[in-house]
Amino acid sequence: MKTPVTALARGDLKLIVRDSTLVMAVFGPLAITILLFFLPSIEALILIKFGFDPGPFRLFIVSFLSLIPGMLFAMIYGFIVLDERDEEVIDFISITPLRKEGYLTYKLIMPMLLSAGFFLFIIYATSLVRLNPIHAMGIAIMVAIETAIGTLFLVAFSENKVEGLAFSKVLGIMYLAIPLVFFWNSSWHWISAFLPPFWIAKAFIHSQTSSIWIWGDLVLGTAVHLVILQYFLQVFLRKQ
Amino acid sequence: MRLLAAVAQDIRFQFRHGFYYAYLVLTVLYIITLRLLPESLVHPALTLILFTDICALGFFFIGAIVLLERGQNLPQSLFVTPLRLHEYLLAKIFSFLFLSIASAFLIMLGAFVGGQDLIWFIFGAIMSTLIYTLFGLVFAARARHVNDYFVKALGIGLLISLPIFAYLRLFDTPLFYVFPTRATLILLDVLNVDYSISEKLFSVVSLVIWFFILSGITYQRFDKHVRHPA
Repeated sequence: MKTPVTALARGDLKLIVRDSTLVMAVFGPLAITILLFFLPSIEALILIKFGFDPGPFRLFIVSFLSLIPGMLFAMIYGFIVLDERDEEVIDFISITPLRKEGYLTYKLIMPMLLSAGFFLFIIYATSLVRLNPIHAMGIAIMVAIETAIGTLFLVAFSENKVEGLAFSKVLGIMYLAIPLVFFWNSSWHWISAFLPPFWIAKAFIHSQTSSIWIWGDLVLGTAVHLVILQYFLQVFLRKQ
Repeated sequence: MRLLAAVAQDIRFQFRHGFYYAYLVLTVLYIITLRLLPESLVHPALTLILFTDICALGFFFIGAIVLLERGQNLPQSLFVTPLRLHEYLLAKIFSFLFLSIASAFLIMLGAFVGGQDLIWFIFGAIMSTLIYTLFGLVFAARARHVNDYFVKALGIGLLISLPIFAYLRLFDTPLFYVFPTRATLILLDVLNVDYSISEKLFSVVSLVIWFFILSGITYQRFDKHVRHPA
């Protein structure tokens, strides 16, 4: 029997499912959260099946996976902008009071808020690593800016959605900085310091060891993120 | 001749849009990663790289390509020329095959990977690439925008990738043998594991059957939604 509540819920669900983008935006980060939620069980299974203890890699896994929703939101919003640019929507908006800058601000703020929110949610809902809340806020700010960098990277250098997709392949390379920081036991790993996730990985490690360097990571990291963001913004606005 | 020209045109299009540059960078990174890995992990890592990226690149890109072409009304113009629908579709899958195989070949050369079952392996890589691209085309025919394509294609894509659990020895069921990905993972893994001849033959037959099934679906969908849109 249909109650008004189920009818409403069905209507809502239909609306949500109809906009497939939203499904992806919700499903991806949720899948990461569920995966991390079961991480202790997966670690135990790997230990039993393969006799290998993945415990020491937990910090790396959490820091790496907690950035994936940010990358996902960057790509989702990047693809929206690419689609709208190919359909010349941006040209129309640029002559309205919102202007190109207003359109871009909206398209960047949404993924920034979502990625920072999901980052904090993942860290505190799974409680797999203990992060000082102030450090977590600092990292969340970097995660947010990094998402905007990702979105802009896809749209600033490409001519259309096909090229944007090729750039999205290259975007993934940025996250190589995380394994480099964790596993490259040489000061040579600093050559990846120009990649934004480098500073997030550093901040994770220094926050865990209660090192004073965490403040350096947060300040310098945010500065690196802002410089790259500014550059990509200029490229995008010049191109439109 | 017409088909060759269409393939060449699609390869040129992919080159112009930076696919070859992107995959050059990725290929070099994969080679470096494989060279850094301990010997015992090289083959499994290669299988996973091919399975998740190199053979699947057509699946990743085809949605945006078809959407862009549809947005520019290119198919309608193309189909008033002598180019036939099957030639248009074959050009799409063969052009991606070229990029995939070139990248896979370079990775294997750079990481010194080889073995005696190479013929099975090459067949597996070729068929997997074709099937992945066909699979993407099925969804590209009706996608409304890039995210729409990814939601629909990835949803089913993740489902048919379930045999990865059998490959990682975490969970297995005979049901997985229905999936084309089980066959793909067997043939891409023959350089590492000594599979029985019946398993290899089964994989070949499975991939050929899947190729024809997906070709039929793709043709029908393109005929209905791209060549004769309502």
